[in-house]
Formats: sequence, C-alpha cells, structure tokens
Amino acid sequence: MQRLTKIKFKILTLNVDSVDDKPYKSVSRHFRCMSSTPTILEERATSSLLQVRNLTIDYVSIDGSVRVLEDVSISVDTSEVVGIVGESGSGKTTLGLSILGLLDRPPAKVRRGEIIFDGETDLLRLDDHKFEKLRGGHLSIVLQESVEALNPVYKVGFQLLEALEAASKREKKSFNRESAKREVLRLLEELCVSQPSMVLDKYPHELSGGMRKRVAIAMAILQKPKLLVLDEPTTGLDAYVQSRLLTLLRQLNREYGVAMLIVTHDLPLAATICDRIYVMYAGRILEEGEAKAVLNSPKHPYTKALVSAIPQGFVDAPPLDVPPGEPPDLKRLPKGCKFAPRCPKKTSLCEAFEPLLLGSHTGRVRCWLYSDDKNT
Amino acid sequence: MEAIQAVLGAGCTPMTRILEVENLSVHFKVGGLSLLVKPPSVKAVDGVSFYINEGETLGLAGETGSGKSTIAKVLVGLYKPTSGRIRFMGREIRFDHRGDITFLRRNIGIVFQDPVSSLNPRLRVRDIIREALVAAGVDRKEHDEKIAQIVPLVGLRPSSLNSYPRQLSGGEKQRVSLARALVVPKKLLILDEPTSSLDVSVQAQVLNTLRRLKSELGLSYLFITHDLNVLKYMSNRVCVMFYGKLVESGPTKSVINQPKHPYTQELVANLLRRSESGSVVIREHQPSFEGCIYKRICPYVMSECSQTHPPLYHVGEEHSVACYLSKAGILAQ
Repeated sequence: MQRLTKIKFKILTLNVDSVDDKPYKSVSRHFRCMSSTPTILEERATSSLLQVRNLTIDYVSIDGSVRVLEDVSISVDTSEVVGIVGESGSGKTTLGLSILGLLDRPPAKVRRGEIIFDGETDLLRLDDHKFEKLRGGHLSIVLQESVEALNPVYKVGFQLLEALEAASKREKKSFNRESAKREVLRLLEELCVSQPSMVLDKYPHELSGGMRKRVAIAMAILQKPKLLVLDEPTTGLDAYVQSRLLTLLRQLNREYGVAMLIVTHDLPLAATICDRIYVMYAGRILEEGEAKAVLNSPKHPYTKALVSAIPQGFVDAPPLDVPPGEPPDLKRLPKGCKFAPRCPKKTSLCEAFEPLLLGSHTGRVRCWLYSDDKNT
Repeated sequence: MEAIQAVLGAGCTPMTRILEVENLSVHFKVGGLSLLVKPPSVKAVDGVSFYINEGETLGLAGETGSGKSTIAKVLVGLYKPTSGRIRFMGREIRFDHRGDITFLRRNIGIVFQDPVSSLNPRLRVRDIIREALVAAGVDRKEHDEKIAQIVPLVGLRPSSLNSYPRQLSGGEKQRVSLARALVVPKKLLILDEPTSSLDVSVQAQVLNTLRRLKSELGLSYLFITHDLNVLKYMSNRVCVMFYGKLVESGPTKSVINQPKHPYTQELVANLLRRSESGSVVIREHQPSFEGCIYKRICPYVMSECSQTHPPLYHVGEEHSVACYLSKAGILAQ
C-alpha cells in the first residue's frame, strides 16, 4: 500500500509541474480528486494475480525514441478475464508482450514501472533463466501470428504432447503418452478441428492459418497456466470457430480458474467474454470499466466512436458516425488529450492538457468531460 | 470499341441485370500424379447461379473455403470456369475469347482483401494508379487529370500520391486499391473482404466512402465478406454459400430476419449472440459429399437429404433456399 501511495505522489508532482501556473479550475479539481477517490488499483491490490503499474515503454531507434506505452496501469485478478481493446498502434500488443518478457530490448526500453505477477515477482527485473521457468508454466501466451508459436521442424502432435509433458512434470504428475494423446485429441475436437488425428501428424506449414491458430491455442490451454495472454485470438477464424473458441475459453476460466488477458481490436467480442475492459489509444488507457458497461454506455468519446463504428442497420441505414482521421502517429502526438484532434467534443482545454484517468471503482475515464462530476 | 459502346448502351437501361451467372462451376484438379487415373478434383464452386441488378449491392457470405473468392476471380478472368454461363452487360462471356476477358476487366474492377500484397511496393501511389490507365489504353496526356479526379473521390490526400505503399496506413492503402480500380470508369466493382484487415473506425470510414461512391458513380457492387454486420449494412440482396454451393439467396432484410436454411440460421444466431451474448450450440462444419451438402451438420436432417442436394425453392419474394424443409415453396429453377 505504501508503495502505491508513493507512486501516486510521483504522478501528482509530475503533472502538477507541467501545469504549474495555469488557472484552469477543473485542472486543480481534477488533481484534488486524485487523492480522495480510491482507484481500482488500490481496491484490487490484495487479490490481483497480475499488476502492471505505471508502465512506460519507449522504442528507441536511430530516428529517435517513440513512446508506445505511457503510464499504463492494469490489474488482472485471479480467475478474471480482462480485455485490452484498441486499434493498431495503440500499444496493446506491446503491453501483452511486455508481460511475457517477449519484448526485444532494445529497441524497447522500459522507462518506468513494474509488473507484479503472483504477488511478488517483478517480471521486468526477472532474469532470462527464471523467466523461462515461468513462461509456458504459470504464464502462457497465444501470439497473433500463430506461425511464430510453432516449431517448423517438428510435427504438430509432438509439440502438443511436449507441452502437456512439461505441464505434468511441473505438477509432478506421471505422464502417460496414451492418455495425453487422448486429451490432446479431445481438445482439438472441441476447437472444431475435423480430423484431429490427421492434424497431429502434420508439420505446421501443412496447416491453414486458422488451423495453426487453433493448434497454438490448444498448446497454450494444455499447459493450464494461471494467466493466459491471448493476442487477437480470433483473427483469421471463421465465425463459428470464433464462438466455439470463446465458449471454450469461458469454460477454461470457470473450471480451472485460468485468468486471461485478451488483447483485441474487437470491442463487442471483448464484451462477450471479458469481465472488465481497458480501452487503449496512443499508448494510454482512455477508459476502464465493467465489460457490459463499456459496450452499452461508453463514456469516452473514443470508446463511443468505437461502438458507433460497428455497422448495425440494413442498407438503408444512415452513414456510420465515425470521427475523421486515423489512429495517431506516435512520433507526432498532440500536446493535450491524444484523441483531441479527432474528438467531436474537444475544447481548448483538451488541446492544452492531457486529462488523467479518473473515476470510481465502477469505471475510470481519461477525459475532461468527466473530470467535474466525478468529484461531486 | 464502338461495338462495345453499342452493347453498353443497349444492355444498361435502369434496373436491368448487369450480371447474370448461371450454374457456374469451378473445379480444381488436385494431385493427379498418375496418367492412368483421372485426378480427383475439388469443387470450389458448384452450380451457383445469381444476378446483380444495376446500381445494386449483392453480398456474398460464407466462411473460409466456401468459394466466395473463386467467384470473384472468375468474374475478372483470373480463373476459367469449368462450366456455366456468364452474361455481363448483355454480352455472353466466352472465357477462351481474349476480347471477352478484356471486356470483363475493362468494366469490372476488383479490390482485394490484403492491401499490402495487392500493391506493388516499388511503385509510388501515382504510378500504381497510372498502371490501370495504361492497361486500359488511356491517352497519356489524360493520365494526370484522371488521377487528380479520382484521388479526392476515394478520400485520399493528394500528397500521398508521391508516397510508397509502405508509407501509408492500412485504410489509405485500401483507398489506393479503390482508386486504382475506379480510375477507369467501371460498371461493377468486386470487393473481396475490403475491410477485414482494417481497424474498426477505419473500416467504418471506408464503408461510408464505398456507399457514397456507389451513388456518385452509379456503380454496382459484389461485396464479399464473412462479417454479417458489414454484409447487412452494405447489401441489398445476399447470397449465402456453403462449401461451393449456394444455400440461400434473397433480399438482405428477408434473409437476415427470416433465415430459412439451417446454416443461415446458425450464422444469424451467431450474429445475435455477439450482440446479446447468449449462447448458441455450434457444430463442427464438415461438408457432406453425398446428398445435401449440409447433411452432416444439419439438426433437421431427413431421409430425403441423403439422396441429392436440394434444388432452390422459392420461399418469398426473390428469396430462395436450397433445403427440403422449404419444399412447400415453388421450385426456383
């Protein structure tokens, strides 16, 4: 707890410095409520399986450094399903990879922050050897490109059994090849693989993209991790496989208590499976809240835009209500709120200062529109 | 050229069928290492018929491997059909006839799913668009003017003309593909999953642009997608395909609100599940090669289903479905 307060002070001083002598009323009100409102972070601190605190990451190259994550704090409770929603370039994949220690450093450089897993381990400061024990054990990931998860020179069956063998070794259980094979086949069948025994006998390059994805997901699930990070798990899958996968993930979560962090660009999809959602934009969290609430009554203009951009009506429906422009170039971010240039409700305040992520335990939002009513 | 113009004028009075496809089949030979045995073939498209009215969007739905993209490629002459008739703007298309293929390509534009692999990385945007003009034999003097006209129409910034594809975002790349397809005026535009690689907000922008272009340029679309939300929003009529066969077709509202085929019903249930997060039972999708293609999955399977694949029955105005459950309707073909 003490540590948390310290961090909060740090942010406070940092931001107050930059707004020093500006006479905006709501700015000061904004900061006042920082100290009074308990954040989700504080409330959940006790039961969190994963806590990412104030993570700030730059990508450093010859052309200079680009900030891809700015002061990102998220938490995932034990057996909770959390979604990270954002468009390309919002930093959601970087966040997912940094949790697994899979970021290439350099070019990535962690400027600030810590990632606490399972109560004590700071993943950012873990050495490779210890990390390797954690990865594929309590921590597992399904990468966006499933090709990368599979070894091209081994047959799929061998790789899947290997994962299961490692899992049973960790739990100090005996490993029976025959029953393991049956388990693998059953899981593949659950994932709508039509001839699982044939698939086991193939090399990754012989499978279609959707099939490889399912194999990669199966491999991650077999290890029964404490936390499973899924980066765009449904891209490239047909609608029916998608729903099957979501059902399976839900089941996995309920039966084995596997916590999940689902990184996706699909807000409705996230809302169907997640308990809580973080909406990211330009490396920042813009909104956080209960999944259904974020989808049905979004607060931040950006989240609203994401929801209204999903086509709903028939061909005679009016044009979709979307903000102009595209996700920002991280090298040339605007000074104030990062969404301000595309925002239909921007004011001069938005262009001058970036709001903080504020709110109560039901949800937080980074927007000046809501900085007042949260106090009262 | 005059002859083409004459056909063009005669064939295209309002609400005429700009494209008619009858019993289209595309079979691909697979394997076939032996000279003595007839090589097995994959029926990518099998006996599919549909039409597109002028100024209309026909949506083609179906999952991976259902033959949607194969149809698109046949229509621009990239694949030769195994059998079937295609009439485009009143002209019968013979696929072994060079002139007919040129006629197709001159009047049908196509936008592919992947904007990265469909744009030449070594050409600037200006030259990518110019290639279409060169291929159509447009006078060089007119090139710059034509390019300048199309660029604002598709929503590109003029400054991006000098960029290379890699310098553009996904949405911009797809707009370049659109500009290339439309810089020579087209009658029909085939959109093969044009927005599936784009972010939601960019997808919405591109969809808006497509709807605007359709009315401004008097285009017809063949819109291929597996996203039912997008399909619903874009198309006047839809065709639903399952493993190369047409299982249901009709006006979008009628198909989405009263799906008749068990497969369409499952697709629509999935759509609803996504918005209301109820649960739905999903079965393994495996085609049957005897009798009805959907036999192995269908919950309502009857004895007739194992005989032959059902023909299309009419179940409503222009709404037809290939299922024995709807046998009470009148036979469509």
